[in-house]
Amino acid sequence: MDYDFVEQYRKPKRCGNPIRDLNPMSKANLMLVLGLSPFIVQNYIFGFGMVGVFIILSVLAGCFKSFFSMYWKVLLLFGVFLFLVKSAFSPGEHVLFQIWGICVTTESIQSGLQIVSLVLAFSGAFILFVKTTPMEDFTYALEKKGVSHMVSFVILSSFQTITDLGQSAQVIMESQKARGIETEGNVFQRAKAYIPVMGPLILNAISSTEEKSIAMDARAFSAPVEHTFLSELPEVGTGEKILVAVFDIAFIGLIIGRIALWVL
Amino acid sequence: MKNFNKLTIFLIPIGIAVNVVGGQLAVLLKLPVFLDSIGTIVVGALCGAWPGVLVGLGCGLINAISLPTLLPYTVIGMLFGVIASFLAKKNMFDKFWKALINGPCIALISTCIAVPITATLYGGFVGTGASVIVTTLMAAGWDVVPATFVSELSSELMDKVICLIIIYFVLKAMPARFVVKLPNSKYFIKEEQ
Repeated sequence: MDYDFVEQYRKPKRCGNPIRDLNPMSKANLMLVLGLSPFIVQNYIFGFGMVGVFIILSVLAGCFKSFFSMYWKVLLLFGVFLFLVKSAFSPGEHVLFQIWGICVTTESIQSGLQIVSLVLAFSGAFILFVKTTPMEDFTYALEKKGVSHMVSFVILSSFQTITDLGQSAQVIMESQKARGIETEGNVFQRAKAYIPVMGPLILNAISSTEEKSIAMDARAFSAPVEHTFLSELPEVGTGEKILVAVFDIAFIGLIIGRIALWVL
Repeated sequence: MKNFNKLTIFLIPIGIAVNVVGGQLAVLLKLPVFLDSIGTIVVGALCGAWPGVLVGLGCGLINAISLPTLLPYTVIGMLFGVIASFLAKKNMFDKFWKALINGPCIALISTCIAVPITATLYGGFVGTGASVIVTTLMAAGWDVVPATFVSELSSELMDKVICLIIIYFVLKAMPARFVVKLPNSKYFIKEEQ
């Protein structure tokens, strides 16, 4: 038996990176505050600044690669195309140029930048949270907060089942191809391949639930007792609590400021 | 969650996975429809509204991981679960022709919710192929709401009719000895006279 392997379960789980080691609840809190702040500030320079902040945070958390591999799609689709659509069709006074129904004005470019910065900032916060928080840590933190273990099971099992079903979809598709089902050709031919793959997939998945439920109950899944955990998360430190509180207070300050500006 | 039937709890992750994998398969086969609500409607029909809502919620959140702009549309997925349960109680899944009626109904409801989201949040741009229709109509001088409505409805109609036909066959093929253990079984299994 490898001594180090056993030893790692005797102390709380840490990975040595200060951002990734934050408690999942703190991360969720910070993500909401940072991701929603551009909606309160209503200034696109701040929103694009936030996008930069998230990219820097992902570098600091050591997960830039996985973060950016998802984020660039959002940047391209919504950063470029959404901006083009908004600036071409939003109403405005100062016309820069006009062709058919397309009318680019200074106001429409402003509103385009505005909406794009909001969408990008919130997306960045969301993807960063997902990429820095392992799902099992998140569900563990939820259970610590008193959420039922059924919820954890549903969340974690969903990810597992997606992987499993994805693989069995491949297998079913290969075997249906061997029986002569076409997956190439025109739209109708390709559509015909959908039901022979999806039907067996769903029925297989559903028929396995009964065995699963028996197996889970044999492992005391629904026993009415306190559940134990194999690995634990570190206790939340004072520094972390203060950090989250500072951000929360700043966010509340922003909201108060925004309301004050509206009223006055 | 606590008072769900045990099988229902195991069916929720499967519903979510069927949604996601079904959507992936439609992309893989390069089909012009999404087909990513099969799981929600099957679970909603068999297990009731709440499990269906949970499947819709989970699926929406998982889809949002790859494209966070889809988050607002999660509401629609949750609604499908409720509608599916309602249709099951009205015995709308037992004949093939009823599937052809269900599809357009669901498409219309989801369009009515999707249009305000698309038009107000994203100015008619959703990042799918339907955006081409929207921008073309808007360039021809249409307003953003009708343009979005036309494009959303056309893609939703095709998607949901095909979805409901597939679901009809899936529910038909379900073994009765399994369905009988689920909350909504009384709407699917006729008692022998």
